Order: sequence, then C-alpha cells, then structure tokens
Amino acid sequence: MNRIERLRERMESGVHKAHRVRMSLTVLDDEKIAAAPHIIRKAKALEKLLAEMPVYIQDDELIVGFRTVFDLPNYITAEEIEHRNPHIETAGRLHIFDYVYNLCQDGRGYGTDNGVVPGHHNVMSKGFNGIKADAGRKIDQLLSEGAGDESEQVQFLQAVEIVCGAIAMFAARYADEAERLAASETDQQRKGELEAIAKVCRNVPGNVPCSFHEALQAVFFTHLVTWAEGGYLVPVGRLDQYVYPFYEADIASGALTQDEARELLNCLFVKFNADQDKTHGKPSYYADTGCTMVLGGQTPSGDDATNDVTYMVLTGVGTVRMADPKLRARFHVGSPDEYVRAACELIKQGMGTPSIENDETIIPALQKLGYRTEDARDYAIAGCWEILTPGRSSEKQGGSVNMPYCLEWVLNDGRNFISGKKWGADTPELASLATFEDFFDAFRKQIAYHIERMVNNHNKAEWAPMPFLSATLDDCVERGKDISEGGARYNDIGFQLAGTANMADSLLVIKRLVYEDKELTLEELRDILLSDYEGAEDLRQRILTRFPKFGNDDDEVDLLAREIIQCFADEVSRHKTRFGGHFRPRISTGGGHAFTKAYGASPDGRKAGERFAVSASPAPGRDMKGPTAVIKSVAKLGLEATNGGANLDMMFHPAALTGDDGTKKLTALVRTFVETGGMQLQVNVVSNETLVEARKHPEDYRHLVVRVYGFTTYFTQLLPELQDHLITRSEYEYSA
Amino acid sequence: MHSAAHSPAPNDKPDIPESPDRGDPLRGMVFDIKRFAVHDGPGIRTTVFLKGCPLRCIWCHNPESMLRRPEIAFYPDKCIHCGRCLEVCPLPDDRKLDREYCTGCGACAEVCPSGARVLCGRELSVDEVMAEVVSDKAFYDNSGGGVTVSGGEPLAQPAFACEIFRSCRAESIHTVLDTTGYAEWEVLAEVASHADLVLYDLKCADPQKHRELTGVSNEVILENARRLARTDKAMIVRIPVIPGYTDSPENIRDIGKFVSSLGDSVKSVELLPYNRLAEAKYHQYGYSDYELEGLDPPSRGELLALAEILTSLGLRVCLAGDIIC
Repeated sequence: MNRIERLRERMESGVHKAHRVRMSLTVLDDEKIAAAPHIIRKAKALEKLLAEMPVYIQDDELIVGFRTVFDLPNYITAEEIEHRNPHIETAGRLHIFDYVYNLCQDGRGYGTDNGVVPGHHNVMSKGFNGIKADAGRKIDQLLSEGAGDESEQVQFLQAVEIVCGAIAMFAARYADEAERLAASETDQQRKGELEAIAKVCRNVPGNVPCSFHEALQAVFFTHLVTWAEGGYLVPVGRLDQYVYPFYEADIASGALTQDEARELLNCLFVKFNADQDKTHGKPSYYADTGCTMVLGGQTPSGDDATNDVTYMVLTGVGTVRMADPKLRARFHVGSPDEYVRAACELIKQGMGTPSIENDETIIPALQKLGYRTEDARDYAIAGCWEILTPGRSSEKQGGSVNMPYCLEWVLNDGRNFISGKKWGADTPELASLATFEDFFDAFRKQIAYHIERMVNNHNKAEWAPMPFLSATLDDCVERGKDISEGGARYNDIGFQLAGTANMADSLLVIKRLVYEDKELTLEELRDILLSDYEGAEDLRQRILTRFPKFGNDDDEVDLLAREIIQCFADEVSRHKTRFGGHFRPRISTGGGHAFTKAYGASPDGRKAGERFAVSASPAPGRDMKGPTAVIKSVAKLGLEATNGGANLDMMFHPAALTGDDGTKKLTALVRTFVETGGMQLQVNVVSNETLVEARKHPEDYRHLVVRVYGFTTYFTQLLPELQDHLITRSEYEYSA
Repeated sequence: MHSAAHSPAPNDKPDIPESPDRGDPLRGMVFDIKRFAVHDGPGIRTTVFLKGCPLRCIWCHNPESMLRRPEIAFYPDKCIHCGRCLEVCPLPDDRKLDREYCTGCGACAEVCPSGARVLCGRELSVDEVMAEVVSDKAFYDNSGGGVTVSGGEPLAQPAFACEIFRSCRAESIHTVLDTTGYAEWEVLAEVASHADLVLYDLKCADPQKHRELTGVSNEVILENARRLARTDKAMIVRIPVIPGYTDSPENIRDIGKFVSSLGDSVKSVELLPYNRLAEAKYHQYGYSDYELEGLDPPSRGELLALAEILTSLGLRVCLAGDIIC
C-alpha cells in the first residue's frame, strides 16, 4: 500500500474518532468576557476551542489537523437563550413559510450562514496575520473618526482580530506537536516529514504560504476552523485557481515534483472525509458535508482557467475514491478538449463526480443579477447547486416554493388536498376560470402568495455572527460588518422551485382536457384528484401514455415548463432582502422528494404520495426519447432567469459509454449541453447497486436507458430475470 | 400466433432476394426511430429502423422487424383489463385480437389507455423521419455521429432508404447503412452509394449452415460484399457471436479469411455478443417458440479468444466500443 491507500484505509476505519473528546468549556466564567458583546464572546469561544482542542497527527499524514472537540465553549448567556429566535425552524422538518428554513443554527436559534465559500484567495494573499492587520487599521480609522467601544463595527473588527490570532495559534500547536513527534521518530524519512510539517504549520495560515505544501495546509486549517465556528456545508471553492501560483513557483524552482504535488493534493482530499458522521442533522438524508470543489472554467478576466492542478485534482479524486471532495467541473465553449475528456473519464468511473457547470449560461445569469463581470466569471458552487462567488457572496437557503401545493390551492380553494388545511390564498370560483389564461393567472397568484409569505419571514430573521468566516471575505473587514449583518458584497437568499416538470405536464393536461377538448370541468378534475384517481384509472393511463411530457423535446409542454419557470423567477426576483440583496430563483428539489407524502394526486397522472421530478429533470420515467431529447428540452427553459441554479440529473448504464468511444460520446453530450443553454448537469453512470435498486423500485428508474447494439429498451421494461442478467452483465463490463 | 413467421415455410425463405419495394420512395414502413443510438456506427446517432426482413435468423434480436406489415405488441403487465380493445377489434367475434388474423389496423392500440397494446410499424414520409432526425444535429456534429438506417433490412425498402440518405446529406448529416447484404447487387450498390459507411453483417461462413440459421444461403451476401469492397466503400463487418451457433473458432476464422480478402474497404470487424434482451420481445409479439430462450451470452474470455483469431489475420477488431487491436 502506498501512503494515500494507508491514509484512506485509516480514515475509513475511523481510527481518528477515538481521539475525539467531550470538553465542557465555557468563556462565561471570565467576567470580562461574560459582559462583552455577543460577537466578542463568540470569537473568544472559538479561540478557547482552538487553544484547548487536543492536537492529533496520524502516521503518514502530510496535511494535518483534526477536529477533536465539536462543540464551541459556552458563550451564550441565559438571557439570550430566553429570547430565542421564534422564526427559525430546525432542519429536517417540513417547512412551508411560517418559519425560516435553515439547516444549522446557534444556541439561540439564530441561523448560521451555510454554503458560503470562504475567501481562501485572501488567506493565500494576506494570511490571517495580514487580515488581522487590516482589521487593526480599520479600528484605528473608526476610532479616529470618533467611534466608541459600543460601535458594532469596532466590535466586529475586534472579533476578527481574535479569531485571526486564534487560527495562527492553533497551527502553532500543530507545529509543536510535529516537532515533538519528530524528536522521538526513529524512521529518518518520517522524521524529515514531521519536521517539514512543523515548518509549514509555523508559517501558515498566519503568514502567506511560501510553498504548495503550505498553501494546501492553509486551505485545510481554514476549512476546519470554518466548521469549528459553527459553519455548515463548507465548500472549498476554486482550489485549482488559488493554489496554482504556489504550484507553479515550486515546479519552476525545482522545489517540488509533479508526483509530490499529486501526493500532497491526495493527502488533502483524504482529510476532507474525516467528519462525515458529524454533519448536522440526521445521518441518512442530511449527512451531506457540502465539501464542493470547483474546477476549470474561466478566470475573472475571461480566459480559460484550466491548469496542471485542474488535471491533478481530476485524477487524484479518481484515485482516492472517497465521498469528498465533490467536484464540479466548469465548462465553457473554449474549454480544452483534454479537460472535458478528463472530466468525462472521471464521470465514467461512476461516482457521480464531477458534475458540470455551464459558464455560458451561468455567467450571463449572474451579470444580469448585478454581479460584477469579474465576480460572475469567478463563480463557484456551495450547498447543493448554489451559484455564488467565493469570498464575496452570502447566499442563504430560502427554502422551497412547492409548486404542487400552488396547483392544489387553485383547485381546492386554497386548501391542501391531503391535510385539508388552508395554506394558500383565496382563489376564484373554478367556474369563473373561463380560459386557460385565467387558470394560469390563478396559479401565478398562488405562487406569488407562497413567495411573499416566505419573503416576509426571511426579512424578519436574525442570523448568528460568524467572525471567522467573515474575516476571510473580501468586504466584511473593509465595511466593518459581519456576514450576518450583510457585510458581504452580495447578500442574497435563494428560493428553490420544486416539482417543475410535473407541473408542466399537469398544466398541459388541464389545457387539453378542460379547455381544448372540454372533456372534463375543473370541478370534475379536482374530484378525480381528491379521490386519487379512484375509478378513473382509464383516464390516468391515458394521461400517462398519450399526453406529451417534459423531457421529450416536445415544444408544447417544454414551453409550458418555461412559462412556469419564468413566472416563478419573476415573482421571486421582484423582492429584496433586508440587506438590499436579491432573492434568487433556483430550480432544485434539494430534499423535496422526502416530503412527497404530503401531496395529493396531480393532473399529470401522478398518484398521491408518488415522487416528483428532481430539479430541472423530467418527471421520473416520463422521458422516453433518451438523453439528447432531455438536453434539448432543458435548453428551451430560458435558464438565465434562474440565476440560483438549475440542475439536470441524468443516468447512464455503463454499457452505453464503454471504452474510448463511449468517452467521446459523453464528451459530445456535455459539449452540446454547454452550447445549447443547459445550466448544471449531473451525470450518473449507473452502478450495479443502482440496477439492483431499479429492479426493486422500477417506478423510480423508468428512465434508465439500456442500449446494446441495435437493440434498445428501458431497463424496467425487461423481464425480471433479464434485469438480473443485465445486472451481472454490467459487472462484466467493468471487469474489462 | 406467428408460428409461420418463426419457423418459416419453404415459400417464406427465397434463395434469391425478392424484388424490393419500389413503391412511393417518399414513404416507408418504420418500426422505430431511436435517438442517442451509440452502437450503430461512429458517434451519437439516430437509428431509423425499417420494418421487414427477408432473413429469419434464429437469434434475431428485433423480432418485430421481421414482417413488413404493422403488428401489435402486447405488454401483459400494463393491461388494466378495461376491455376496450375487444370492443373495437374489427375481426369476427371468434377471432378478436387473434394474431393469426390480425391485419395490424391498430384500432386496439388506438383505444388502449395504458399502452399495453402498441402498434409497431407506421408508414412515415421522408419528411416525418427527417423532422425527428435533424433535431439531434448538434449532437452529431459534436460527436462525429449521424444517422443510421437499419432494420429489418433497409434494402427491402431501397427507394425510401435512398431518400432518407439524400435528405441527410443535404443537411450535412453523416450516413450509415446497416445491412445483411441480402439483396440484388444493383439495389445494394444504389443504396450504399448514398451512405458514408456500411455496417455489413456476416453471420456464418458455411452456406448450408447459413441457410439453416437464417433461412437463406450466404452466396448472394458474400458476392455482394466482394463487389461492394471493390467500390472502395468504407465498411465495418459485424459478426453476431451466438454461442453454439456462430461462435466456433472455425466459423470466425473462415469469416476472418473472407474479410481479409476484401482489402482496405473494411475498416474493422466488430464482434456483437449475443444478449438475452430480445427474449421479452418474442413474448410481446406472440412468438412462443424462441429457440434461444435461456441461452447465456458468450463470456468476455471467449470473445477475446475469438477476437484474437481475427487480429492474427491482421484485422482490426472492435468489441462493445473497445478497440481490441
């Protein structure tokens, strides 16, 4: 086994978990701190945590640092807890709009910014000592302008000074530990490595990195402390961009070989997997780490950004084969073939990584939103699909606009089909909706009502200060404002549209059956849906088999999907956040599929409780013309309007993409997606396990295409024994 | 039931190709148009499947392609037993929905709400085919793909196949003909002249065995291959590897030797391993006597050994998209 294999095995076996400890720490026992403003107390708590948390370096490690204590020392006063924020709902529960959706919160129930990409580029160019010095200068300036101790700006900047010092101190403790281990190390090679680690940790992240090794270590310390502060879903941003100058210099000077660079990167990748079990919330669904890394694309000046590190990350992630980091490959029309090919080769390995981000759609969308051009070109990804600029954006999760509810409310006087509760707005008598346009207008009003209530709650919400995260950002120090107070350059909240394809399919059915053919009245349709198609199976089957569905390159229904999306985007975009930022529309189900039980039957033939379409994808099993038709349908949606993101999910059987020839085909699909106006694409080359799942739950996998020579069929249309056969066969494809 | 279709009566397997359909060149019988076809020639392609074939290969993986006339596929698991098909079937009461007497009028499929009865085979115009085909032009251009006309046997509808190819070329779309080679030479020559590449099936070297397995002798097929190769048309020879039928080393070697004699026209030889995916279709189209039911596909090792025979003859061999040599 080589070093990386040993590290991976050790990480997977969880040896490091035995080093985790519980410590009952508090900063409130110091009277002076206890009386200090909240943000100072929080900074002090982080400082104390980083001073007390046991340090731990494993054999073989070149990049070091573990979180061994998970809770911040107590810094919240009893009085603060008493005045808990009533507007925040905890993760994992159904949220509609009486609460603010948030995945993570502090002890007072205040949400913490999650999914912000830390400003690693500032750590690279200034170091935390440099950031601390900036904060000090800004304090002097404010004081000279007459600000006093009660100035919130000054308090924030003091907190920045504390946390900047704290991370440098934490690194120094690792330097001490490495020296201690080196002193007793008998293996000369390891001794040398430990001495190198000590030297690295002595310098970064306080000072500016002097080497590629130092740059990667600074990234990891910053990542770790962002989590420690109470961050959640912490992304990595454009690693191949901000560490490249260090790589280039080391290679040029001969201080580093390519193999050494590769090994260091792979060491970093293993480290990202340490705390998969400690993410907030329930393990099954919310165990996401948000450890997203973005590759390639364009530079802020508009040139192609691909470099040696880009390729090393792609091959490294394929070698390490762990859950994190999750890669997002940015493509533009001018992306080099070699890069597109390398990304497609990795996709074919079947880990669902990298997914694809299309610069050609995303950059104009951000510009239209008001992003500066250089910031738009510098975008990265946070959370699931959120598009933002590293170190300059605060992008909060706003929650889902549940379109299927809006349709239920139109048909059922503002009431949910299943619960009967009146959550929607009043709606006109169905008989008065004389034309399809009238109907769509009523639908739009429900959407607007849904969004308005979410906006109102969001604009009342309080957020927890994050002085460490803020310190890494471009503008917070200069403005003297924490990210929770709108200190970032862009302060936006994303609303996600759930159930798009099902709604397009449904509206088409209403348009035809009710308004064109006049086969049913709206009341009759509503009654059929309320009864979950009881006694109307004929009709349901006819809807399923005879009506056009989104995802089949059929203009009528595809353009209806476009209309729904544009309507949603207009209604979201008209509002402003309380920091003057934007509400951003995104087509994403996130966890929406978990809540399908709450929805009744829909006019597209979907029965109560069945799943909805995922993000911008067709409804499950409704795309019957294959991937090219799906890509063409998505291209019609006008996705520049959904500047928050719009993801298309696709699944391929490995047999469709075998060999060099298969890579070329995947490359061509991706290129065409980029050229025709897609936004985000997640390609799954389906593993055997998935086929087994598909065998058990065919209703969820109806769009799984199996193409073998001239013969063509859908996996789920095969006889069970043949499905089993194919399952065996796909292993055989891989054994090649 | 189509017992006749699968165990063909003597008059159903002519030794010389039938006169092809020279009807309206702008209309043809199509049983499927598949986008994102990835194993029918280079790149991402759309394959147009023409219905009707003079051969009766016992392993045929598209049983719905054998007969020229429209047929009804029946998917029992989708049937909701509403009985509408019985109501509309124009046959007399004692023959309703009976495949033996079915004319493929499609009335039952028209009213079937659940898609349990599906009409296979539509007469389409070239314009209708092209409307579907051009929509993936961007994918063809990015992948070096295009349009493949397959079957059934496209040479049984040569005028229609030619018109499709001509229209594709007018749109700068790459064209591939996928054929058994079983047709009058003039017919093959004409259709192939409109194709950029010909996928040419060679199943069995021995004429008598070929007749047993496919219903026709291979003499016409081999002679056509020789003549086509002399026109310098780019060809890929495809050999179905059917365990126990075509997979003997002797057969592969004999086909390989024949291919070697064809010269530079043949760019590569593809081995098409048997798969069981067609079994379901035999049931859906009412065939109860599929001889290969339960037959296992060849192992990868066996395929590699057969590929080795071909490469030792100096041929370039492809297997499931992988270039072996």
